[in-house]
Amino acid sequence: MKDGLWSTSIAKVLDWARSNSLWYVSTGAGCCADEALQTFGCRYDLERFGSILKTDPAQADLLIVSGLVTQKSKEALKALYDRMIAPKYVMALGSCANCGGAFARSGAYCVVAGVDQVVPVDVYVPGCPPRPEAIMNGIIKLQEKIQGNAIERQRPRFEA
Amino acid sequence: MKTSVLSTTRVYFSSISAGVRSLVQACSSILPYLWSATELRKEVTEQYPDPVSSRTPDELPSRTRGLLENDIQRCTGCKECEEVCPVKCIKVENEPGEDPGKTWVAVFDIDHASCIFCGLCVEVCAPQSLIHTREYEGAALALPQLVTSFGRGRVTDEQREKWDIMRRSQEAENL
Amino acid sequence: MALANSTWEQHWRALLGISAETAQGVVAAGAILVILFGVIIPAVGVVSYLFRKLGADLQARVGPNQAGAAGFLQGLADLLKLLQKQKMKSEVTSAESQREGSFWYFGHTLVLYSSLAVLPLGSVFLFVNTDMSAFLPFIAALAAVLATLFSGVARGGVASFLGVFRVSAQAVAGAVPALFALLCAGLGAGGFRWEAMAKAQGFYPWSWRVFVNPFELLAFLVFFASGMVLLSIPPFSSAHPSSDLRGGVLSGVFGRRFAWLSFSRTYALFLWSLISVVMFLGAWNLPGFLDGAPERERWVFVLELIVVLSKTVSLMLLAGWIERASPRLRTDHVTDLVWWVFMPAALVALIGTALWERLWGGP
Repeated sequence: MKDGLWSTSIAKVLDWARSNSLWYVSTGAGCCADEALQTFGCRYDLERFGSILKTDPAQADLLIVSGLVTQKSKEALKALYDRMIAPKYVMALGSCANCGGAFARSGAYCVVAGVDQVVPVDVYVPGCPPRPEAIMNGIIKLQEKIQGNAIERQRPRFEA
Repeated sequence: MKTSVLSTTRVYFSSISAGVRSLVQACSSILPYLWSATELRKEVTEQYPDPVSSRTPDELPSRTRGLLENDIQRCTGCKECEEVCPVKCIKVENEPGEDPGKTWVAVFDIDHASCIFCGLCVEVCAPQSLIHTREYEGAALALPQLVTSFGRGRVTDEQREKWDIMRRSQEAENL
Repeated sequence: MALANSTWEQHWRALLGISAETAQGVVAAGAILVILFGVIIPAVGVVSYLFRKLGADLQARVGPNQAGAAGFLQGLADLLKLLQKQKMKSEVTSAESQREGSFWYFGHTLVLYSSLAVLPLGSVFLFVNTDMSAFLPFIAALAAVLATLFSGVARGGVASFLGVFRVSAQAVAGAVPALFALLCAGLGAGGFRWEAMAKAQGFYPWSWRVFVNPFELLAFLVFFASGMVLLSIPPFSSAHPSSDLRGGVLSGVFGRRFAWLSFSRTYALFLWSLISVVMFLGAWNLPGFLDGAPERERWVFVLELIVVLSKTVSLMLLAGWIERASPRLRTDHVTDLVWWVFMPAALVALIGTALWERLWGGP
């Protein structure tokens, strides 16, 4: 029993460390990238959560895909993801990254309908583009997921 | 340009002093951010989950287009929003309801994953039941969680039978 | 060896409570562990936290504040995270060259930490107290540069290989004026023994070498700046970027190697600041009224440590301030600066110090 207690508390500490030090690389296209850059900057300061912008994917833990992924940039995104070292996480930002957004639905041939068709996604942030607060909400959600206590929250239903 | 030992020496020392001056200038120019009585000292960061230093949804501009919300009591199920949506992220299904004249909006699903927050559906909504809230916190760990359902749910056969009985008794009373 | 006849052993036996029968090596190992875990790691940790907060404050933002109170545990979180990183299978380099890279990388850190034995942290902390003590950290820094160079070669790839050229050019450029400035300090103090350097100065600023002799002020500036060039400390770090797209010897380093790298880079700055303080800024000297205190009292050593560490940390923060205020210089600009400005300045300082000592110097 004591071993179990020890190992769970050590695992908790390690999870805490991983969730509080999410160094990120970011791929940006369009308006989501603008909002993402705002979030990295002074006013919304992602470094509060221990996240630093890294330009070397080998040193990063979190891949923030902001904006559209095209068939042509799919390969580059995959390569970027493969260059990262596990444990690694992916955040999809905005409608285009979530499921292709306005482009995929209108039948554009060159658009990948969602980042999750290329790399596994851990957290989806809705918005077109999402506010910086929404992006930080996504980071917090991811931290909860890493710490293993994410609560599946459903928006309240209107009773009939 | 004339070059002599003297002028070269002068250029050498003046460039050194320019370098030193620019270094001192650079170092002193960032000092007010550390110690000063002015606005520069203050941090500009909005610390998001903290409602004091960051803006809450209520403080956002009134026309902010946040996540969609539908008041299903007022919704008539006219499907105008479904028609006008450019990404087809709204799904409406109607059934005959309790009152034969009124529709029962069984399914009203908004897929926030693909919604582009354009506001067209809100504009065409005749009963004004569909609105943009100022809410933005919607991050989810899986795509199906981003679908928000407002529908009343499918009517079960038992419910329909009960309604039929009620309607018949009402008609009998009226007669 | 100087180990045998020095007093450090008795002090440390008293401090650690080790009896006289225990071997000398045990005492030395215990002392080094105490210095590493009690002095170096806390000091470097606190300074890197202060650097992050300083950088954030200068940009009018908050900086890390989620991990622990005011983000104080951020460094710990980063360290634990980096230790959890898995290994990478690389297509570029073979297993053999990766092993070689690890070897040189290990050498890099090991050489740097070998300077622990010669760190002048106070009168008791001196292990290797020879007539050439002041040269030892200098040689350790050069060897660390050499190991960095070989680790870059072993990692393979164009970026690392080009980075090797930059690192070596910059290290050679930085080493020469630093050496001349070191000679100045030796001339002024009358020897290269740490004790001699400390005894040539006093507690109060007007008895520090930099203010006694104007040429030594010049020598101090040259020594500190060219040391930063030698060890590639920002803003002279463009030869050595670890996180830039431009690549370099250590780009693509990740996981525990990156943790060691970050730690040893801050340690390099700590080392250079410490020896600058001891040589030019009054060392560990206490005010004169404490001279009468019994020499082996424990609190005297602690006071010495506090004095020398606070000066060191102030000097590191000054370097951090300059780093955050000025853009990073290009490698060729750095080498130009060193050869055209630092080198003549070091020569002037050397000749000036010699003349000064001859004319107005001591007995």
